[in-house]
Amino acid sequence: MMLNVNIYRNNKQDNKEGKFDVFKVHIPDNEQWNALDLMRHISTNMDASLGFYYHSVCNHGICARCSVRSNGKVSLACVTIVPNSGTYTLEPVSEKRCTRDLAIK
Amino acid sequence: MSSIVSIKKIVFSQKKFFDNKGGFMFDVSNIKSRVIKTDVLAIGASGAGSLAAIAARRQGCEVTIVAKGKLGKSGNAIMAGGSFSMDGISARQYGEKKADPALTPNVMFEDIVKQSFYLAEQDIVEQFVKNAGPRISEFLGWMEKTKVKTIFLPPSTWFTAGRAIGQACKIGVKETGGIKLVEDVMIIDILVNNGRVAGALGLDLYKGEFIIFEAKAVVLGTGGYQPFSFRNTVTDMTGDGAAMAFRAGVPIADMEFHLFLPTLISPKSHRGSILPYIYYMSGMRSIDLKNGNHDEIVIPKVLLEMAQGTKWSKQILAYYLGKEICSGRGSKNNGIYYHFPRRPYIKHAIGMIKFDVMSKQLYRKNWFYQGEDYNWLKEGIKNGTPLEVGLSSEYSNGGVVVDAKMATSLPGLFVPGEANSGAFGALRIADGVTEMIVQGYEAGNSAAEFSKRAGGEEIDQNQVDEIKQRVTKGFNNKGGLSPYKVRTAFEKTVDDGFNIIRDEKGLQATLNEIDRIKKEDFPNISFSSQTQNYNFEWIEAMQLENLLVCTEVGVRAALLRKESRGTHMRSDFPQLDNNNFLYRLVGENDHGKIKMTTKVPKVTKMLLPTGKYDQMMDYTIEQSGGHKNVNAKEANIMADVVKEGFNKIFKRGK
Repeated sequence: MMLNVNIYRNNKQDNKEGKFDVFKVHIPDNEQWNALDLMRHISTNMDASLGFYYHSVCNHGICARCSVRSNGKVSLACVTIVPNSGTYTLEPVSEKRCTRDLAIK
Repeated sequence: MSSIVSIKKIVFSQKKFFDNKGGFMFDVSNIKSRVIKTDVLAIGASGAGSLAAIAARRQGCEVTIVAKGKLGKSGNAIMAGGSFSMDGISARQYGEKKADPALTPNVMFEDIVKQSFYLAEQDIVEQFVKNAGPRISEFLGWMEKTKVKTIFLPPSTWFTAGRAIGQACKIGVKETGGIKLVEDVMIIDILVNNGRVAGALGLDLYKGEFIIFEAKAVVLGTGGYQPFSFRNTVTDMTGDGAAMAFRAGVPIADMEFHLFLPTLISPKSHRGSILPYIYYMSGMRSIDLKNGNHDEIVIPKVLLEMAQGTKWSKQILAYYLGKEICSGRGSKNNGIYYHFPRRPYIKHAIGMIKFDVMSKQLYRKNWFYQGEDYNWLKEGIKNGTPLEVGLSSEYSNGGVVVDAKMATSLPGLFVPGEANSGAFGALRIADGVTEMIVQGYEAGNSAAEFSKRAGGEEIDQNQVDEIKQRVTKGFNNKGGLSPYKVRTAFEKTVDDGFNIIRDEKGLQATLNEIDRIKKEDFPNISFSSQTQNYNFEWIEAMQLENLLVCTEVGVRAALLRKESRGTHMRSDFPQLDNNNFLYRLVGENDHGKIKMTTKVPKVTKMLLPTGKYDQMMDYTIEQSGGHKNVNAKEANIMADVVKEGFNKIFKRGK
């Protein structure tokens, strides 16, 4: 089973229009990942240029800094469980505050 | 109070550079740079940095906090279980009637020195004990304003949620007033000129711009280093402070000692939570510890009682669980299992009620821990489903060598908290939260005195340029290695040879591999994106450089320490040998190379022992003293939390 992940890509430094990239990710049936696990997996194994908040991350819903728009809903990436199959969309919480891809200031 | 820091912007002209094939060449001078001037620069916005800033500001200095994260939300304070303490006599003086005066300052001092396996610098421990009273008392005032519950636990400890500890630091900084805050900026290196501190160079992570901090004194409150793949700390714990200090010529020590705690392995979404440790303190008597084959892990009765009643549990569980995991008897994911037997149900009930009460009090919802939902675990415990638990490191004892004033060998550089070494030697059982508060304040006072006495020093622009060139190489390396892949390879070798239970062969293999990574992989790192704004590949490469420094010193120390002591456990040298190894191992910067030396800890009250124990744990057994030790009571956290919870319910019932 594959998860099709749509990720909004945007770089304020380039002054280009944002676009969606699609990543096909295999999450084993017996595993449960959160959105931060998913982004880390993509950046390590598929596209190292992906920008998402990862410095000073608590990973357990304490610091509340890793907010993203998960399937349209504003959530903390580290406590948002992602589906193992189907389609899943990640966008920055705010286009205006977006620094790069999913990272917002 | 108005802003007290002058900021000037230097914007370099945008130039395009091309290599001989017509491709774009990254030129570091294209990156914007600005300057911030201050008297005292506190690096880090967790407890150590915050308290240093508060103390220095109270002395009338211009103070700037610069943090990789955000004030109140960064650093490891928010991850704490978390408790802080002072001696029982002081606690009574500060109005805590339930405090036990039998925990005198002297008892507290002796406990910490014994727990350190006598490697603690005794003058630093004295400073810790003496100042815990006034500092924790003030901190409690800020805690009260967070509205998060703080629970007193006899003999003399307070227990609360980690996020509240972060919030309390922020309240302290705000109440002090006039402290300039620069957030989401990673400090890359300390700037040195004429043999003393001149400031620091930072990178604004969001903008991708350099910031030169001109400072008369610098306090490094940057926390510890976690080189392992399995962690329970924030992602910032990459040894930035220790590595920067080392590059500036300051020795680092005790890097072989890490504190491991039972930690959740799966599901991956919750991986790295220390809930299994917290739950062990709550439901310990309903938990059977079993290895990967589901055979019982045998812990001698006296040690099991210590593990169930004191914070020696940190060492005892690491030793016995670590032995299973590191000798191939662990679970598939390198862990062990908590078994929750179906009989007798009452034991489950007591453990579960304790956790239920605690989670509601500190995390607002039943069966929540930190910000995560654990109702699935509640069902698992009821059904007797085994829980897979690993060991991950929560704290590194090692760090920068300091004196009791938190001063280093570099004039103007002060290091408190987890980034330093000296208070806890081979095993920290006393509270890391107390350490950051007490030492942070001391460092702030020392930095303020230094800045008034010594004035400032000019920035050496050549050093700034060299650092910029060094850390931007990844932009010009084409087709090289991803920093994420190199970090993964680094973590693998650390896991393989520098883990909980070590031996000569494994440590040597890890040292060789670190050397190879340092010489071959690291210089070949390239960034797939040329962007500077929030380029995490760039951040990761700088973090990895710091981890490599700290870990190499740690592995070299672990190889030299041919014995077992505290949290340094060797299968080939199980004995504790005070005749030959009662010293600290220090990594010195010898023209860019690591030179290992030794340092005998300073004695103020307790003479250093001689003799050997065939098995290190015999020393730990000796410390049990039939639980005569007053501090021993401290760890039965959950029992006291629940007692308070029950009392409330009972009163409400009336």
